Amino acid sequence: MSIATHEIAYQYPGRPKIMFPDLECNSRETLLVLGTSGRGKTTLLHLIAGLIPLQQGEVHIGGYSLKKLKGQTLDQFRGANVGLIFQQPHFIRSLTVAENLLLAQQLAGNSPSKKRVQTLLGRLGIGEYANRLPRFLSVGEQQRASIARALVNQPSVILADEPTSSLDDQNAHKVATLLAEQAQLEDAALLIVTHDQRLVNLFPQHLRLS
Amino acid sequence: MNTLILSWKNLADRLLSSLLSLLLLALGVGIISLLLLLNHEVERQFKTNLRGVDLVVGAKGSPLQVILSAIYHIDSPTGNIPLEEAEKLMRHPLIKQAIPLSYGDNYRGYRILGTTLAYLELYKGTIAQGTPWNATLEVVLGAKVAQKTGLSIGDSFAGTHGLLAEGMTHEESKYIVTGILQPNGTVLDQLILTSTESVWAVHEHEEDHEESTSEESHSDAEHENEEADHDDGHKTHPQENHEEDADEHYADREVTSLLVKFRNKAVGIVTMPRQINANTSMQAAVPAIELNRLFNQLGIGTSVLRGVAIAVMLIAALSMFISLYTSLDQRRYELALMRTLGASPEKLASLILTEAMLLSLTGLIVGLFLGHGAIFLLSQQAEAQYAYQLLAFQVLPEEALLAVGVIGLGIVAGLIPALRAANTPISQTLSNQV
Repeated sequence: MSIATHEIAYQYPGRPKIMFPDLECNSRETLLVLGTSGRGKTTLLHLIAGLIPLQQGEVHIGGYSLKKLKGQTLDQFRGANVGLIFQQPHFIRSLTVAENLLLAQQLAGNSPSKKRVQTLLGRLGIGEYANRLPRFLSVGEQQRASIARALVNQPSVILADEPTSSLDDQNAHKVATLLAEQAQLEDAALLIVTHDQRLVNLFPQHLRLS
Repeated sequence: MNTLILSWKNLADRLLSSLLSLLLLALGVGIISLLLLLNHEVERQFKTNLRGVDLVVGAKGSPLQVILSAIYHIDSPTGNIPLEEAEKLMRHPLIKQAIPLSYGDNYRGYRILGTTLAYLELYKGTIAQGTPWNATLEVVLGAKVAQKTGLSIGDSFAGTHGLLAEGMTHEESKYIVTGILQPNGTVLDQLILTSTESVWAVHEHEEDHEESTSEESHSDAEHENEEADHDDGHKTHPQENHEEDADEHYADREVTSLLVKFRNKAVGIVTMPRQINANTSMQAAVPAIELNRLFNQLGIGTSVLRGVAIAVMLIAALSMFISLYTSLDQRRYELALMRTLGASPEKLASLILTEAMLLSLTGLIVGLFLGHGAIFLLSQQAEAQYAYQLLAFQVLPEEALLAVGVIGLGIVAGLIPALRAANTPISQTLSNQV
């Protein structure tokens, strides 16, 4: 099992505790986590990614228990095993698209491979933009570049937070299918949290937060 | 993509604010390095030319002026002293050596100095071509003078009266070049040396000329006052016949100053200046004291400038701090992103610190170039004006200290932004809660 959660819950100070249903997702599978705003979709994603510490319950990524990882080990583990895609594509603005991917390889502790970077960018249809600064790409192209970055370290898990909400219908469809295809190609489990109804028909496995 | 390259690219991405910090820092470093070099070079010049002269005796006036003119040849003399008194002094038991100097003329701005061969020895001057002067009106050229004027052995030239290049020339008594000195980095390089008698001879002739054309009608008192750059005290006895024998002793002969070395410096310094100042028409000036006074006076100016430079550097550090700190706001997603990609908080801190260090190092290097470049330009001007050379391309030990200080400033300016970067809250930043 690539992703498995068990009875996790989170409480922000002065707010009611959010209980999350258990979820499981295998490699090469896509799980859509649906829910309207304020249901804790992003919180769930950040808990699974280890970006906020677990208060309760257990998260397993590729067989490792997140609870047991701390500090720099957790950072390295996340870099190497978890690919993250955000609602707004974020990049190091002073680096080109290719350099952003190379940096991701290095920060995860892998040796940078220009070949791997170029192949991935090619597969996502933005190979020709490799040497441009990200801010000169369209939002759709930027989101594809961030998919490439999420995949570059061959993570066992890809977590996407509203990856299509800032895209138009055509781009949303294209980006979502590309994301699923590429995750499968890399043998990764894909978890998408979204409220984007356009994606519901694309992916059969759903989990609703209530 | 190591931290260094990433830092560099980040700085280049914020070009304007990086440039502002850089320029401020470079300006501060440049001014300080300029001051250090200038101070060092001026002291070096003053010390190499001092040559163990314990006392300078000249006409009454500013003691500093006496020193500047007699040792460094950069100011006008205060006037002349009677040869009779000078010779009495030269025989004093405490005095080991006294070298007479007589000014009168220049050639194209280079001073013609009447003295004895002991003066050459004092500055360890060696003849490169020809021979030292022997007879009246024979001269030896300093290396720079020969180079700049193009005069060579056997050439003759007429001196210009006074110490300014423009003026009346002594066409009747021409000097003849018998020797050229090896360049040796002392005042010799910029002087035309001859015997004391030559200076007398030229001006005796001159005086006859003036007498016959009746151009001047000074009283004795006026002469006393205006002799700062005129060796014309001898005009007080116009009736004498000067043309027969220039070497003959006259009671009214004068020299401009004496460079004195004592047998026993400690005793000499204590007793002689007071004795000379009280009992003679001459004035004794102690180079060590006068130079200290001069450096102290220069010191006020340089310490003000140094204060300004330090203020500029502090502002540079502040600008660096502000630039880094505000950039963190724009870069908060980047920093959170780097954390999600596996970067530790320490890595982010080192990234920001590296940016601060790169900025300060570049500022330091640019600043040092500015400082040394300015000295180089100044040196060329000083050479043209005073024939003094300043070494522009040397590294002073104080500059190493300056470098340490600048790097320290960089660390201080980068520390708080670095800590803030390290503490970037990943989750809140990415979910727009910050």
